Formats: sequence, C-alpha cells, structure tokens
Amino acid sequence: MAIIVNLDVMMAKRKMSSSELAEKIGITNANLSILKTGKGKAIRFSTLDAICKALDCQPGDILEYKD
Amino acid sequence: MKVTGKNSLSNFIEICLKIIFVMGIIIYIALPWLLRWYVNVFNPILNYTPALVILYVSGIPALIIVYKFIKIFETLKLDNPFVLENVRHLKVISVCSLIISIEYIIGMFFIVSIFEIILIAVFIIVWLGGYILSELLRKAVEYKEENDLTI
Repeated sequence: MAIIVNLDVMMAKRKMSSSELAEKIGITNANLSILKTGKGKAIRFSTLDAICKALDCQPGDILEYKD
Repeated sequence: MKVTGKNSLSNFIEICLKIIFVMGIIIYIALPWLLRWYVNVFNPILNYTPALVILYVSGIPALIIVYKFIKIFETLKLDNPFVLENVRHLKVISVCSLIISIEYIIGMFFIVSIFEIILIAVFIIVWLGGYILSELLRKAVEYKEENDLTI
C-alpha cells in the first residue's frame, strides 16, 4: 500500500506532543503510535475527523499517496 | 458466574485439566500393574498384551491433547484467546484425535468391544470438530487483528 501517514509533520507544525494529541482526539497513546508508525490497517472517519479538528488541518495534510 | 478471566469457570476447568494431566501421567507410568489388576479382578478374558500396547500408544496423544487444552485455557484466563497459538493448539488436538482413532481402528483387529467403537466415533468427531474450530478461530484472529489495527 502506498498511503503514507504524515501525522508527525503536521504535529510538528502545530507544535503538539503525542500525548496531547491523543488526549484531544480521545484515543490511547499506543493507538496513536500505531497510526504514526504506519502499522495501522485502517482509520475511522470519526478518528480522522477528530485529528483534523485538533490539528486544524485537512485530511490531505495528514494522508498522502505515493506511487 | 464469570466465564473467562480470573476466578472464573474456565479457570476452574483449567485446574481440573491440570489434575487430570497429572493423574494421567501417573496412570500412564503405572499402566502395566493397573491393567494386570483390572484383568485379574474385572475382565479375565481381556487379552493383556495387545490391550497394554494399545493403551500405551494412545496414551501419549491423549496426554498431549490434555496439555494443549491446558494451554488454551491459560490464554482464556488472560482474557486473550484470539491468538494464532491457539489455532496451532487446536490443530494439534485434532491431529492427536485422528491418531488415537486410527490406533483404535487397528486395535479392533486384536480386541473387539463396544467401547472401542464409541471411542473411535468420539475421536473422529473431535478430529473433524477440532479442525473446523481451528479454522474458525484463525478467521476470528484475523478479524480481531483487523479490528485492533483500525484506529
């Protein structure tokens, strides 16, 4: 699969720590790190919604498709 | 009553299985004397040597089955039964059941009794059931992993 999660970039731009973001979007630190390291298999729309709200960005800022 | 977890029904059954396992090993070691005693007291027409051989050969897979069940119940105690390990345990149980049923089918040539037919039927059912359940569990493990990795 060529979908890349660029969560760290956006988090760095907004200067937000992992635990802070996890608390804001209501998931555990462990699950957030699964998402960040690209081990996750899918992302719920509700989670994506919460991330975009917390980081004030678009889904395209977080997810990227590479050939 | 709780079914899984600590101080639950599965915990109780696990303890029972451990007792059965230890008793099984003791019986397995004491088999020549026990069988001699059984032949003398209850069943004088039983053929001693073939019966001893059949019991000795089928004893090992039977003990393996009990051991594997203990392993499965240990994961139930931790409330985490959906692991690939359990799929392997169930596969081993089904193969051991097949071995036992084949042994008793061969044993039919030496000793004929109604109990043997029942045993063969039971272990063939366990063989097929165990195999199907192991595949079912594999699917469940896959679904669980998928679900766990959906954030």
